[in-house]
Amino acid sequence: MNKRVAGVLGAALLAIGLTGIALGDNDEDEREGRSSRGADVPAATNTAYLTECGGCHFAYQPGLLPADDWRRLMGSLDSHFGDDASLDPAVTKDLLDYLFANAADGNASIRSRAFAAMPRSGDAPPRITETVYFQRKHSEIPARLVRDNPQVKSFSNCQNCHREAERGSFNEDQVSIPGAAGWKD
Amino acid sequence: MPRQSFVSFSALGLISGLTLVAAGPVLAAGDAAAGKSAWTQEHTPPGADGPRSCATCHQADLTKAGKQVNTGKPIEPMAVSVNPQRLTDPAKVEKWLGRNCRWTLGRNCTPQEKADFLAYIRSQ
Repeated sequence: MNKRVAGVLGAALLAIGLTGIALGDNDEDEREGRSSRGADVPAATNTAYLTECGGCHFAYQPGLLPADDWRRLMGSLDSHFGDDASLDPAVTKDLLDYLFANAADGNASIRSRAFAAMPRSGDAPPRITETVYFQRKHSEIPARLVRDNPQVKSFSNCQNCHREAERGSFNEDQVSIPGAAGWKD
Repeated sequence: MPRQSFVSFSALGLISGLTLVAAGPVLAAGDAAAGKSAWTQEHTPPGADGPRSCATCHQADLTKAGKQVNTGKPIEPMAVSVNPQRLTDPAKVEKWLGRNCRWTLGRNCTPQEKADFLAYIRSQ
């Protein structure tokens, strides 16, 4: 291969590389070359947790909030985001033990660490959707695709768009927003 | 006689299971018709954004599946005829009657009201 051919080939490869960068978005998943497969927050496996909390809503993995936020949530179940979710004190304690052992600031998964590093601020009741990390990851999603979308309704319904949410996988490439075919950020 | 005592113990368990919400000196007998009418009666407790009833989440037809009004999560039918698992776990019945009376009516139900709801659910 002479120098000229190598130069042209090099320029072509550089152009392909730049195109790739230009087409990609700014999500850390891609920039940091993370695997797009597999659960990235430990799945919720505790039977009592799945029954008691998953009975009314998506069973948010313990690794989505730091321990302190779980403590606050479990301390006010009689007034739980507009619902009465009171539990027997012994059950509450068992669930809290489980939440503490697997909280965002207590496990090594990449996304849990991000939730722990970018928590919410203020004194309002803890909401996963109000953590800095959550909001940063969803800042490009317009309200019409979520709140105004009858098939989604709320950012709290993880599983409506994140098809692998129950396994703890929230990677972007398995997101499918119902009623918004082909939408890309 | 161990066998006999076991039988009596089971019978006692069954009775207390059926009347669990009426714990106390007087055992309330449920009135299914009263339970039916209370089921759809609307209340607006303090803090509620509109009138609510049992049917808000469970539907008026107990043989049909309901939906948690805030999250949209499906709720299995309440009617024992289509969902035999209903009313088989006393702790579960207590827990849900407690939460749901407070959410819907803004207070705990009386033993009589609870017995009426159970009689209604059992009759469906």
